[in-house]
Amino acid sequence: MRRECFVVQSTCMNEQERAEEHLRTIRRLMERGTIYRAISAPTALVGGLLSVGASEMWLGGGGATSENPRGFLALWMAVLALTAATNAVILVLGARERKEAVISASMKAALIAIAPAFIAAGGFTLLFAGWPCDPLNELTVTVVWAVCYGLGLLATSHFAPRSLTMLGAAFLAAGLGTMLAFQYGGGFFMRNLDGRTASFFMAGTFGLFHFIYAVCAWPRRRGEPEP
Amino acid sequence: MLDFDKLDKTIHEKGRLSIMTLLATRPSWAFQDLKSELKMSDGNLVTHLRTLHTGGYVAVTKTVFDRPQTSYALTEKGRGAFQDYLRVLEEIVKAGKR
Repeated sequence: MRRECFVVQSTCMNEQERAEEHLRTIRRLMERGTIYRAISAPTALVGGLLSVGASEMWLGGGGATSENPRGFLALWMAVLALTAATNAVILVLGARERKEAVISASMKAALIAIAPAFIAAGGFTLLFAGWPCDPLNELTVTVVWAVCYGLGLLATSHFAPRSLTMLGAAFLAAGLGTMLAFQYGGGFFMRNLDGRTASFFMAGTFGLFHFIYAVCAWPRRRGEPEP
Repeated sequence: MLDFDKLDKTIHEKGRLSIMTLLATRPSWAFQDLKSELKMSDGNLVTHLRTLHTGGYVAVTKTVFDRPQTSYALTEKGRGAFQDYLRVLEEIVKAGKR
């Protein structure tokens, strides 16, 4: 009789442990399976092209030598607006193709994660608009943009694909690296700082990094065996 | 007294449960994505998918662009069975904590 009770209790415990293990597996896979790419590869390509184009326009058009901080800001705000509009169109088309809601739970989660860093970047931009125009101030605001953008992307890392997390880390590293180089670079970087530096930084980060991301994240089709 | 027989035996296998869980997270999954996420062999994954498809839990879509691609999605029956399975699992865990 005792042995039977022990066997029944043991079976129940095993089943309960198995149930708990299965629930843990389900939770882990649910978290891993839910992926949201806040920035698509085509958007990154457009953003990269616009960034390089804007840098070239600013350098070639003599903007770098003009004392016009609002012109510098207006140019980059236009790049941001065009890239954001492209991203919105691509997200809407993608959602329609997959027959999903455009404003999905994943999109809301991404926006909530990104918002603090982007709001901070907006605040610094407003602050910069009132600063005197000089190369160091221009570089400072672009470095802040890169750091905030990187932090925003990293904030989505628990549901973003690895490539997007890497992109965020690259922006953060570039921003912090530039700050440290100017602070502790023994004067070398400061001596070579001029009106073109901020534009080179933007082309190298928002331009080049987005190109690399677009290449890595571009959708590919693969063959597979059929059951 | 818990009735363990309520657990759907088709789903109550770790490999198939993992497949059903991933299929529940997105509208559809390509074979290669499932394979890389679950780190299963082709043969193992194909066998589990066939079992789920035979049970009416998984729909298969085959498309050909430059290469053939097979995608899998939960059917209504599969989604319902998965939700029922989750409910029974939760009951088992709650009963064990009482």
